[in-house]
Amino acid sequence: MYNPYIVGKQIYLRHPTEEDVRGKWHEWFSDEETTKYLESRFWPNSKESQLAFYNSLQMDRNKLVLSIVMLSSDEHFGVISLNNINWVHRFGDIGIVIGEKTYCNGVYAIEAYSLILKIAFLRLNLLNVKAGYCVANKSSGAILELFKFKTVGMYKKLFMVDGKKEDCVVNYLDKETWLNRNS
Amino acid sequence: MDSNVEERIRNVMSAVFDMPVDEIDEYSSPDNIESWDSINHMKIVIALEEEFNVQFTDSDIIELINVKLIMAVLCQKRLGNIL
Repeated sequence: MYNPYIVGKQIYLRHPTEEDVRGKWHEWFSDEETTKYLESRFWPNSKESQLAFYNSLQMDRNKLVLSIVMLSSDEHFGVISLNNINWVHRFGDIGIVIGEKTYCNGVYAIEAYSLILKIAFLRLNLLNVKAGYCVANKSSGAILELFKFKTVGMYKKLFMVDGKKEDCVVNYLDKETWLNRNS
Repeated sequence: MDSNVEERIRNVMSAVFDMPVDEIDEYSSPDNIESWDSINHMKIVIALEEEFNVQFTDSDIIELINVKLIMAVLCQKRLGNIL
């Protein structure tokens, strides 16, 4: 285990390293299936562009990006983040990419969500975590429902996915609800 | 009493995964049930909450990945003596 930020049952989250980015990271963001619902898919991707992104993280206190790593093998297989953190209103947007397909069954994403929600509410003292997902992305919807995110709206036909207009579902989870479930 | 709990858990999993109860053993997990994804994990959690009238925490949710562990979580919630 290297430099853990938070440790779970099967995984831990840590600050990304340059080795992570030079490893498979940039390939994940070129993979059509992995990026199907990501905005980043529209632009060419490279190791250099991902390294530039990685370097931009060092001074960015409005974004927390963490590598998802297996406890048993130290294999880095995904990235989870809190983006657009607003320190006045104390909210942030959650996002996740499971890059290695061996780990795409949902179980590891669920654990990563549980860990970053703990970070969001207990360590960063955020009051709300927001999440938006394309309605066709049923796995994301299931995970948010599992953690009791509330659906508060929908942007009709906001996203273009595979040439088809898709709705965007808007969700949030407030700290009080999270604490009530987890205390 | 435990066997009754185990049977109820297996029935829940059987319904969610649409597979015969006798094909589910205490070690059935995401490693050996192909359809065990985030959607079906959510269905299992919700079905178990209804079946046993409990509410799982985030820590519980990540433990619920086979019959044996589900039973352990339910026992931790001190439900064993009233089930």
